[in-house]
Formats: sequence, structure tokens, C-alpha cells
Amino acid sequence: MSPVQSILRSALTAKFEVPGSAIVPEASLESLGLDSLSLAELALILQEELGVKVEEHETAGSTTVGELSRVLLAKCATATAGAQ
Amino acid sequence: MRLRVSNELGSAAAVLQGLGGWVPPRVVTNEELPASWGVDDAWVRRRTGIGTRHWADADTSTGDAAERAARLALASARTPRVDAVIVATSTPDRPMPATAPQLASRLGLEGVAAWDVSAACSGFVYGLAAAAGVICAGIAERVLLVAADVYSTLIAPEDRSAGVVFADGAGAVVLRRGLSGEPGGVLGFDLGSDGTGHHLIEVAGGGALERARPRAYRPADRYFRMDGREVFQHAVTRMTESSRLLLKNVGWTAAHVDRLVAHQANARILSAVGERLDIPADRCVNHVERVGNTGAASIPLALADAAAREDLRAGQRVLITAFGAGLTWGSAALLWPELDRIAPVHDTGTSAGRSL
Repeated sequence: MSPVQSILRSALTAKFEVPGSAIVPEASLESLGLDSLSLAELALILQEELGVKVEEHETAGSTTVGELSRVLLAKCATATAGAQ
Repeated sequence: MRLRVSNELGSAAAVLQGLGGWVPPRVVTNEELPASWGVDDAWVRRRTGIGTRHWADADTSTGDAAERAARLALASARTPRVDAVIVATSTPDRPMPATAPQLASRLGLEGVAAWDVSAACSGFVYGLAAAAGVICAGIAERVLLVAADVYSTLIAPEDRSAGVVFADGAGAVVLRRGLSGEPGGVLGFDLGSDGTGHHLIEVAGGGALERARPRAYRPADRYFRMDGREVFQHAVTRMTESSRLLLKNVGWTAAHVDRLVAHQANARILSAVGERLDIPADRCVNHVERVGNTGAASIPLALADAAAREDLRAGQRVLITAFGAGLTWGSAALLWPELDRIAPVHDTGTSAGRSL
């Protein structure tokens, strides 16, 4: 598991009390029990932890864990490349 | 440019002398919310942490609520006289004139300086800064600051999201000229704004823009609207950053803070700010559960309720922080003073609540 995926998993389990077994790539954030304020807080936590801007549509209720992971990995890769 | 002020010990400072809070008698439980909103107690509590709120009746204006809180604060301060009256509100009784001069007259304070502060839910902290400013400049010896909002008048009838959260109330403080470092002395401020976020929380209509171009506006523009998601992130980030800056400026760490009194917007914002500041939940004052979000009034109401329950005690280090439309935010720090017993906020049926 990449550091980005680990941070996402950790936020979902520790902050939003999502069971680890439910965090599978095809699960939508909504199906994991996150309401609109939880989605806002998840985006804020990811921004704080990863140092990248997370847009509203990237943490929508219908966004899946797999989609969000890919978006975050791409953002972090771009941020790292930009910093070099 | 942000405004940061930290008083030198022994210099002039605004000192808290009196405190009062008032909410309308009508308690609205989650079960009593309009059926058309389709919400139940569990949904509202989970989403907002709110169990009850108070809504004013049609005969209770912002000025009326302000007067109730003001009288309680003046009684607590044991003084009928102040040199200035400041009202912080987003729901003034009318666009002009300000609410404060009429309040001063109703209180028998003829001739004193009186003006309103418009900084939405940050209004109490901005008003506190205005009060401290006129006190430290030698313009006034004593100031009455009242934060009052009747938000129930500003929420569209069909707006469930805002309707479950926003409510009515007023809180007031009396500040006197004293010395920084003495109990009750405000030790410093951090104030800031970001006008590029003006559209995130707004009442778009009802002002000069609408009067100039009436056809560009709809009746719904007279009501409050908010981008909840963006506001959540800004509120948490701004209150956390402002608090950190102020703590550094006054020489405190999070461990020094005995009570964090943040703008009572929503229980989830309160816990998110407390977690980021590393201040445990038992040191974070929660009043939103009983009164909802009362706008500018939320902080003085929370102070009055905590003081009445003796959860706030002399000598405690208190950090207050607020965020609101504008966007605006601000924080202040003080050592809690010895005050006369504060009237219970929720005892509205007693003589204290009906002393007009």
C-alpha cells in the first residue's frame, strides 16, 4: 500500500469509524457512511496530510475509494515533480 | 494585512466586568421542526450536534433580544452607566439606522456613542476589538457590547440545511478600562478577512445592489444562503490558524488553555477545531447542543451559559475564536475574572429573563 493509500485508509478508519474491511476500491464514500460534512472534513484532512488541493467533485458521495486513491496519487506525483 | 495586537502587561486594556445571555422562551426540539423538512432527531444530532434551539416570536426583534441581554450584563457589572454601546448583528431591525442608538435610549443611556458592527458570526470578536480600541484610546471608560441575532427571520422557509442549525439569541458584556494582565483583561487579538469568499455565506439581495438593479434579483435572494462544504473547511482552517497565531502572540500553548470557546456553528466544526488545536473536548465549551447557531450571539451566550454553570471560573485562561460571513474571523484571549453570579441563560421564565 502506498503512503497516499495508507493516509486515506487511516482517515476513513480513525476519523470516520469506517471498518477496514469495507474500504475496497469499488466502495463509494457515500456507501461507507460519509455525509456531506464528512466529505468536506475528509477533503480537509487529505489536504492537510498530503499538502495538495482536493476539489469538491473529487470527494463526492459517489466517488469510489479507488477513484479517490488514483486522483490523490496523481496530485502527489505532480506536486513532487513540481517541487524538484 | 492581518491585525494582531498583544497588550504589554501593565498597559491599558479592556477588562470584562459583566456578562449576560438571553434566548427567546420558545424551545424548538428536533421533533418540532417543520414536517416538510423531513428530518428526525437522530439525523439532526448526527449532522449538527444540535438537540434544541430557541426561536423568537414575531413580536421579538433583534433590538428586543439585545435589550434583554444588555440589562442582564449591566446588572452583572453592577453599573447602569457606560460611555458607548456597540451592537454586533447580521439581523438588524432595519437597514438604517443602526440598532445600537435605539438600544442605548431604551436602556436610558441617552447621549452615549452607539454604533453597530457588521461582521456576521465573527461580530462578537470584532465588537470586542472595537470596544477594546475605544477603551485603550481613552475614548471610553466603559463599553456595553451586545451581540444579537434573530436568524429565524433570515432563513428561507424551505431551507432545511440552514433551518435546522440557525436560531435566535443575544449575549452581552460590559468592559471597563483596566490593566492588561489583571483578571478579565483581554490579552490580545487576531483578526482577519478574505473578501474573495464573500459569496460562500451571503444574503445577496435587500441592499443597494438590488435597489439599483431590481430585476437581477429574486425574492429568494432576501434570504441567507451558504455553501456548507466550503464553509466547513474555511471555518475549521481559519479558526485553527487564528487561534494558533494568537496563542503564540500571548505566549500561551494549547496546554495553557483552560476553556476554548469557539463560534458555536455546528458540533462537528467545534470538534474539528479542538482536535487540530490539541485541546481536549472537556476543555471545549459546547453550547450549540442547546441553542444551535445563534450567529454573533453564539460566543457571549456560550460564555454566559458556562459561567452560570460555573464551568467558567476565575483564573481560567480562555481562548475565544470565531468565523463568519465576509469571510471574517478573529480570536481573543483573556484570564477569566471573578464575576457576580451570572443569570442562567436557559431560565427564561424567571424574573431575570422578564425584567423589561
